[in-house]
Amino acid sequence: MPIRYLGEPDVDHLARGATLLGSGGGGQTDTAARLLRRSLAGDRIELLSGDAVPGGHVLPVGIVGAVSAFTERLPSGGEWAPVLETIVNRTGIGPAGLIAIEAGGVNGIVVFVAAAELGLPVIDADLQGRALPRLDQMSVAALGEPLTPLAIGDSGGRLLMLDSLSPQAAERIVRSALTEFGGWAAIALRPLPVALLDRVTILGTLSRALRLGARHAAWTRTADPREAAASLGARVLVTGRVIEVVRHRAAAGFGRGSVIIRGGLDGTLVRLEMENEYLLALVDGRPVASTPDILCVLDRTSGLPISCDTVRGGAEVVALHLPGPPFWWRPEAVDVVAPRAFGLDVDPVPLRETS
Amino acid sequence: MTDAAPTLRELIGHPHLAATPLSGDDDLDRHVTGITLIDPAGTGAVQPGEIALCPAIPAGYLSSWRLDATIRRLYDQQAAALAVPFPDPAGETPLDGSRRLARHLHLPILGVGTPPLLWAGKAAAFVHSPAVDAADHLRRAHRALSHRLLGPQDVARALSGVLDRPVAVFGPDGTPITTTRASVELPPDFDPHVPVAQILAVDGDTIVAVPVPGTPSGTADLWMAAALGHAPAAWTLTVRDVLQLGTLAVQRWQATRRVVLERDARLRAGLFGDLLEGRLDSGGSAHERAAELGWRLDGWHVAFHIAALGQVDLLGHTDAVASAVAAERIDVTVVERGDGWSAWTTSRTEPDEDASRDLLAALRRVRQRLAGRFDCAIGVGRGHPDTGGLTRSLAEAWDAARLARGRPQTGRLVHIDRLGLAQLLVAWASTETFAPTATRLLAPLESQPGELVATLSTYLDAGGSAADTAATLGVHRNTVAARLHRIEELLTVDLSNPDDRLALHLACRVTLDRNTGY
Repeated sequence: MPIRYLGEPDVDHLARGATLLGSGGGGQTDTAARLLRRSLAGDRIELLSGDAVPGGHVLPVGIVGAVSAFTERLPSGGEWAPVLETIVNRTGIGPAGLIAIEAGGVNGIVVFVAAAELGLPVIDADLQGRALPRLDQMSVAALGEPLTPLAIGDSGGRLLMLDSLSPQAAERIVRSALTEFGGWAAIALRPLPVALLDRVTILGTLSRALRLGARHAAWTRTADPREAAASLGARVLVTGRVIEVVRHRAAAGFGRGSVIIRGGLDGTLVRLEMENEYLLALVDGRPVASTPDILCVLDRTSGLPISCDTVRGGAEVVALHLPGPPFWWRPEAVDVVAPRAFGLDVDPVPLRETS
Repeated sequence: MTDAAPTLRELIGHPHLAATPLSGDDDLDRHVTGITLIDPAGTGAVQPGEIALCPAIPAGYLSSWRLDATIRRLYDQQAAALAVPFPDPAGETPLDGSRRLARHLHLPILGVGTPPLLWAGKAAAFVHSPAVDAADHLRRAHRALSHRLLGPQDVARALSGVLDRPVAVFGPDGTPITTTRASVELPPDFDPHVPVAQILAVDGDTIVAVPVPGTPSGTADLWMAAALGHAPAAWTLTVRDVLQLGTLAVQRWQATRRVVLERDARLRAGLFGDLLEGRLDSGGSAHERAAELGWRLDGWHVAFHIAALGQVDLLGHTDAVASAVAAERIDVTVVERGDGWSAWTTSRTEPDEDASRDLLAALRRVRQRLAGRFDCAIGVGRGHPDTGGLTRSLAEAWDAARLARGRPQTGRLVHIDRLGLAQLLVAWASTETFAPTATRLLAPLESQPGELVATLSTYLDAGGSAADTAATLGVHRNTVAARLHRIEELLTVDLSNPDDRLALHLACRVTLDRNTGY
């Protein structure tokens, strides 16, 4: 029975991998990683592959809200017990394990913090396979399954439970309620039957994050970006300097922005369109990569990922294109995360062999 | 379409097709084969070489990735350029990255300030049938020029309005004729001696210069020139045609003006004849007509006559003579007479020495002012009162001008005051008895080098001053002294002897007048 454990030595790889899967979003993982080390307290957490769970249900957990608020007001412990209890009471189902709502960014780590708090194992799967900004972009929602009952809460006892609402309605209500929770809240969604995991979740995401993280940790300053990218299973879009960053503050929804990178060799101009994540890449005006694939901007020398929030003009960077979760390329799912779901009027561009 | 397709740079140099290159000044030298409308979502075929105009763009388009995608697609389709309305109503501009992309792909972005469909229509018309554009300009030029008589400056102004480019008038030699700062500069390779339309290029800017033909000689009377900046060849030819239409208007003005001048001249000539014949008695009808013309017949008159040398179209220069005289602040009446123009000043009292010296100095400058047009000799009469005195002064001026023709050593300017007695002597000395004697007397000097006759004549005219002689002839004083010494030796005369001087002076005058034909 393939069972592995996540311990202190794995946290660095997990954080690196979750950051890469964040596609420039999902929040800064370093704070979450420190939190996880403290939660582990030298112990370790079971990480079960999907088929290793004999039966019953798993509970999707994570945090929702502004990641900046998360960094300013760290979890104090006791965030997930109230939401777990609420869902258990509502559904009468006691979960056999936890599953991350999102593997990219902070939520790829927080699931282990919750597991430490609740004393449950973590299933090697998530509902996004990367980072995505909205609740209605969960895999189950994309397949038309309900997210509710869901609960959000914090350690101060504030709690909100929603039921019999569409994912879109749940997203709107949760988003508007977050200010009352101080910017972010712990969340638990409707428990999922283990038997359906291979259909409605993205399996193996956490081990993918750990694998990516391990290879990324081997990134050396002297490495050829192409070779380093190849080790991540990625292709290099451009190596060059960020010449322009524009951020438009939107009246509603998330702010949109553009990053323009000028290739060092031939002056190729690569434009990345971003919201919370890097969403679309155009090379010399031609769309070459988009959601649901993953786009990363790394510091050229250190290899450290640069998020959409922190990218600045003048930075010497490498932009990478990683394949997104195959789940999102399914015809019935792709529209939920394709560029048009973010207001970018272009068809999704699959990873091509050309580079 | 017979002409080569215009380049982008030329196209936007057309006044109706002005557009701002938003992606810099490069890549504007490709040829434009047409205009196509595209929508911002960017589907639709664009042919190679066409300008793709996006007539309406959604908010945020200029700074969005869609602009980049459009640039790329047009690059793939080998379009000449992307044109968008600019400035954007919301004040939006393309990102630096988009401008760079346009430069990187050599696909310029043009910002069109006029209503885009209007621009597209004019651009398409211009590219596909430049003759329509030319006809439109000619029609407008015709309207601007035909409703009334316009002088050269007014024609230039009207054409400048039609062409939306500076137009200026130049003299026969290419010097600007303008009251304000010259708006057009003729380049160095402009040739005023070739009276045909000239299309000249300086640093990519085009200047079109068209001559206004002169009546008798075929040389240019005036030039009209327009500065176009970067201009398509077809537009340059249109401008040439429009300017030529302008030269017709100028010629019409000149002809009409000449008719007026001729009519006035005939009137003046008749009256002038009466004046010279002494028929202008006060109270007569002729006297009244003279008063109507502004002729002053009372008071003291000093007349002068400007005789043109060589073949000169007198009427064509009357304005120039009048303005040259006016420029010297001489308040006179100018009348065409014989080989030139007679004129007189009038004062209430008898003119004194100072007044007469000032007049001579002023006339010397008048002669210089006219030097660019023709050479002339000027004779000045003495001051005499009233109508009869005017007749007399005019006669003296006429005679003096005849004498002045043969006297380059006095700057072809002769005042009858200085001649009084000499005139009589010359008249006597020119007789058949004295003339051969005079010629023989000076014969020994003729075969010698050093312009001895001229030196002797000038020396005697200068009252025996070697210094003045040297100044007049433009040689060193010692040269004059040496020549005088040789003259005394060759002729065996003594220049300090008054009798010798008188005989030689008369001989010189007769010889020199004969040699110059007078």
